[in-house]
Amino acid sequence: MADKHHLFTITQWLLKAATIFCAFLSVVLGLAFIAVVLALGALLVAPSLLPIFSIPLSVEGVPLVTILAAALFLVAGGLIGTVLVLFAVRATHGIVDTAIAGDPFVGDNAERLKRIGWLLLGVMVVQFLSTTMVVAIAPDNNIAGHIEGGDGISLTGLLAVLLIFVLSRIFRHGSEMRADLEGTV
Amino acid sequence: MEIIVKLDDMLYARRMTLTELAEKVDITLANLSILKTGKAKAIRFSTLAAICAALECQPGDVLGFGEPTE
Repeated sequence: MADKHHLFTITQWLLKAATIFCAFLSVVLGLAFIAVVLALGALLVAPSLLPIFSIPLSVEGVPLVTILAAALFLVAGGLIGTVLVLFAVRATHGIVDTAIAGDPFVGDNAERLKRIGWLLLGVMVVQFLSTTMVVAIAPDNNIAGHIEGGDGISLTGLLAVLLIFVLSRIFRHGSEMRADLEGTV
Repeated sequence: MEIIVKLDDMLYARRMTLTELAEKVDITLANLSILKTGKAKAIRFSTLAAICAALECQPGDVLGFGEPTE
C-alpha cells in the first residue's frame, strides 16, 4: 500500500510540474500568436511601412507573408494543443487525487478518463491540421523542412486513445459495482 | 412487491436491542441500521447466518417478500 502511495505522490508532483509548464507554454504561445497576428495584419494592411523599418519582404527567397502564415498555423496549433494537454493533465490530477484519497472507483473518474480520451484525440487532430496547413502553405522551402505533412496522427496515439476510452467504460462499470457494494451489509 | 426486512419484529420477540445484536454478530450498528430500515441493497449470506445464529431463527423470520408497510 505504501508503494502505491509513493507512485501516486510522485505522479502528483509530475502532474503539478506539467501543469505549471503547460500554463507557462500557453502564455508564451499566446503572446507569440498575438505577435504573429499583428505582424501579418501590418504586412497585409501597410506593406509600404516595411522598408522604413528595414524589414525585408522575403527571407532566403521565401516571401514574408508565407513565413508569417505558416507561423500562424504552427503557433495556433501549438497553443490549442497545449491548452488541451493542460486540461488533460488537470483531469489526470483529479484521478490521482481520488486514488490518494483511497476511493478511485467513482463515476467522476470515468467521466475524467473519457474527457482525457477526447482531449488527446483533439491534440492529435490539431497537430495534424496545423502541420498539414504549414506544408500546404509552404511546400517547397525551409519552413516545412522539419515538418512532415500530417504529423500528429499515429497508430500508437490512436491505440492509446482507444485504450483510454475502454478504461473509461471499465471505470464506469467498476464504480457501479462499488456503489452496489456500498449498499451491501 | 419487494424484499422486506422484519428485523424489528424479531428483535422485539427476542427482547433484544439493535446495539446488543450488533455486538453479537460483530456488524457495525450503522450497517445494521441500514439493514433494519430497508435501505440495504444486498445482504451477505455470512451476515444473514450471523443474525440468524444470534436471534435463533430462520432467514424467513428476518426477511419477507411483500408490499412495504410504510
